Amino acid sequence: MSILSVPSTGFSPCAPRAPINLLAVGVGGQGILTLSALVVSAAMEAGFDVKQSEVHGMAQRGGSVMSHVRMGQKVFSPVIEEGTADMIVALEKLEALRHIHYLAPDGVLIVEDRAIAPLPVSTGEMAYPPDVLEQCRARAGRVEVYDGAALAEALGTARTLNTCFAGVLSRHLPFDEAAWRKGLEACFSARDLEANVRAFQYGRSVQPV
Amino acid sequence: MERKQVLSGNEAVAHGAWKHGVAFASAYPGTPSTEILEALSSYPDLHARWCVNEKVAFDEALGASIGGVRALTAMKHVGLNVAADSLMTASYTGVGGGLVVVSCDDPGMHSSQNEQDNRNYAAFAKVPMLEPADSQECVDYVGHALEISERFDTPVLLRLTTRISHTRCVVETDDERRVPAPRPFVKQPEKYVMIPAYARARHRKVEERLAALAEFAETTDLNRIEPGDGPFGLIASGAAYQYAKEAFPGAPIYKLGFSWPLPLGKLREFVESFGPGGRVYVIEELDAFIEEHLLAAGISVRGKVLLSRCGEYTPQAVREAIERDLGEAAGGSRTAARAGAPKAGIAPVAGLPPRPPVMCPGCPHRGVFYALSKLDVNVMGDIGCYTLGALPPLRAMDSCVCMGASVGLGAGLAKVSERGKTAAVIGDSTFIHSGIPALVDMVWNRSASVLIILDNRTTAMTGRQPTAASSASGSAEATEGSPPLDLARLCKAVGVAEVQVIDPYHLEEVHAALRRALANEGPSVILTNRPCGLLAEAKRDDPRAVSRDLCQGCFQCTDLACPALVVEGGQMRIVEELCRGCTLCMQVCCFNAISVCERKTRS
Ligand SMILES: Cc1ncc(C[n+]2csc(CCOP(=O)(O)OP(=O)(O)O)c2C)c(N)n1
Repeated sequence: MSILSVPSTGFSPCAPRAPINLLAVGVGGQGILTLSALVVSAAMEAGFDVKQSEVHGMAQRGGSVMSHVRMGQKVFSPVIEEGTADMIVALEKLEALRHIHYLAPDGVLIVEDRAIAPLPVSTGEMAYPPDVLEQCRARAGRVEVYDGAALAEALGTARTLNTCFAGVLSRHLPFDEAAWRKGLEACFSARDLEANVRAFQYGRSVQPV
Repeated sequence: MERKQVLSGNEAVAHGAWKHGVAFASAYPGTPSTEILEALSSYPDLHARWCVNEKVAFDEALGASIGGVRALTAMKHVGLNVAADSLMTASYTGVGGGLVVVSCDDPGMHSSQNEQDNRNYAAFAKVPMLEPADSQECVDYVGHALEISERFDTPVLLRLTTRISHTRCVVETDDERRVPAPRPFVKQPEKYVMIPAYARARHRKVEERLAALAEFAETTDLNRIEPGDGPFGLIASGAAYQYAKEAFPGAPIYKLGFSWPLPLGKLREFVESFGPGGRVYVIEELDAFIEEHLLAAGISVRGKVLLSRCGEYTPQAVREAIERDLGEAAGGSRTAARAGAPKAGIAPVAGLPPRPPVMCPGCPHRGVFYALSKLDVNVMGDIGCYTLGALPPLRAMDSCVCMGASVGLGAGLAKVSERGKTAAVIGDSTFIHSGIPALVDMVWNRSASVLIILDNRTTAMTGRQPTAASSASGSAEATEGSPPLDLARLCKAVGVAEVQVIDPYHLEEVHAALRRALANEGPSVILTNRPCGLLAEAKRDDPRAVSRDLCQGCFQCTDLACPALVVEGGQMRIVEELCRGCTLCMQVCCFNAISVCERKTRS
């Protein structure tokens, strides 16, 4: 029996010619890299060529984290050009706004309604912009906002939120159920698998606010 | 059986090393190279170890190679500076078993203090260089590099950049390891003892070898033409090849996998195939390495007149530069061509609060920099997590050049400064890497500088690798009866009269130690004793909270640059989930407004 009882998305599993570009952004420690690793595994299982690029080092210490994922028949550049991301998934909303110029004109922004104060804000030197989501909506055609706190409550933990967002993303990606299942199995240990499958499933069906 | 998996370039280098029979691997951590040795540590049948610095790692790999097995050493670009003395003469001695030197360069300086182009080392040391352009090539090129090393009796440079090291992509490989027969050590003083008489003969061999390698470059499959159509051609290697392909997928491209010595004959043919007025562009990040060698050989190419010598490239940058150049060649003016294509899309949003990296909550480095920021001292700094002490609001570090430099900079600055004005700060891993000889010199030359060694018992910056002072061995193999290096005893042994071991969570203790050390006439060492907060051994205390009644909103505690402390509605708040209970904020609060979180005390 399938571990994912999810409706079929109706996408064809064959890789499109122009790569699909996904940019995942957030703050160090939010699990951005695990989220992208899951998408990458599923993409490979679905028969796509895939490249994922990230930068380690200074960024990990509470700095912005950005991970580029490109999937297609053949992928050359590991980085996404500005204005060409089909999707941006942002686990923090200021980071969504910071990277929004990567979004393609018809791209979709998936954003967690969550604010994490960067140092200049926590020291009171600068203000966290009060209208981040409005600013995002003013720039991007398609914006899906998800309430992180509500998701964490529904999941019973904030630890699998990143996997939940992979579930949200899965609705926009042409991989079949089997590919996602294998991706999940590749990315999580037997002990964590069940909780992450649950989070993924929840994300696959939850509606934006 | 061939198996598909997703590997980063670094993991792929490790897999290639295992697959192609490497028996000994050594490294000192450094972004973006670190994961090579981390990955190698989990492979069976080979010995992988962390060494105290890159030179030692290089020497040990060379020693293993002389001993007849295949060996690999990995480092970041600046690490090769530390190992360069060995590399330059290992070029003369040549190898026994194949020897691969992996250099991971960092165009764009995502996590480095400079963006030097280590392709120059291949030319400088007269050793061959391979540049993989994706993870599959990383696996395969390690094998080619080992064969070339053995065939031509030379170390081989395998050069990656951040976007190769840290890009994960699909690799097809079998899980079969092939180990060539070892070539046991044979005494050959003429080959391995580089006294002038022997070295002169070896130098001639190096020149002959280079000529043979130049011939090899013309015939190897590692260099290839990918035919296409279009009025212009491209030459590229490594990550730049991917950018060039992305920008102009249909253009003919000469892909260099074996990029030193260059296949000048083949490149000349390629360039001439575009006719007298034809344009061929060299796409290469950083230096004009390929371009200058081609121009010197009278091969006409274009490159750095269009593209920067600084930073990382993108397909966008490559496309725009070449289109502009072609537009101009077709008669359009530079500015017209530039204005020609207005970029559609969303403009970057200006004025957002930046999100700089910060010391973690509970970081044992914080208290020392807070104390230093309140003193009138000049602080010679070094490289590690603690370099964040240079950023506002702490701003308590006045130099950072390269690993180990703080100690010598402090000694030099102290000699020409007023007494009691100079301190140097260094991490434990950095001190062991290259600070120890400088400390011996501080003692020998009686420098009135204070050296603060921030011993957090790990190499935190690069992801918490062990140090000689934190663990009994640099490899997974257990070593019995050899305790880790004792830093306090080491400092005393080299003749430091006063070594103060302090608790960096105790601000009064830190201040007192600094005042005492700065008053000293001779060299003095302060050693901190708290582990990195991310280590399992780090103790975590109850989170603290700010009393709404007592907080006066003076914001003195924001000088600590702690991510757990946030200004909210004119008062401070502590983010409970982030607080590690280090108590520094309690110690700086003049109003006693901070105490153990109430919810915790009740429970
Ligand atoms: C020659 C060289 N090798 C490696 C590095 C990468 N690197 C930067 S800091 C550092 C060590 C940090 O450890 P430590 O001094 O203990 O300070 P911590 O980060 O733990 O505070 C390393 C390996 C470098 N910059 N230069």
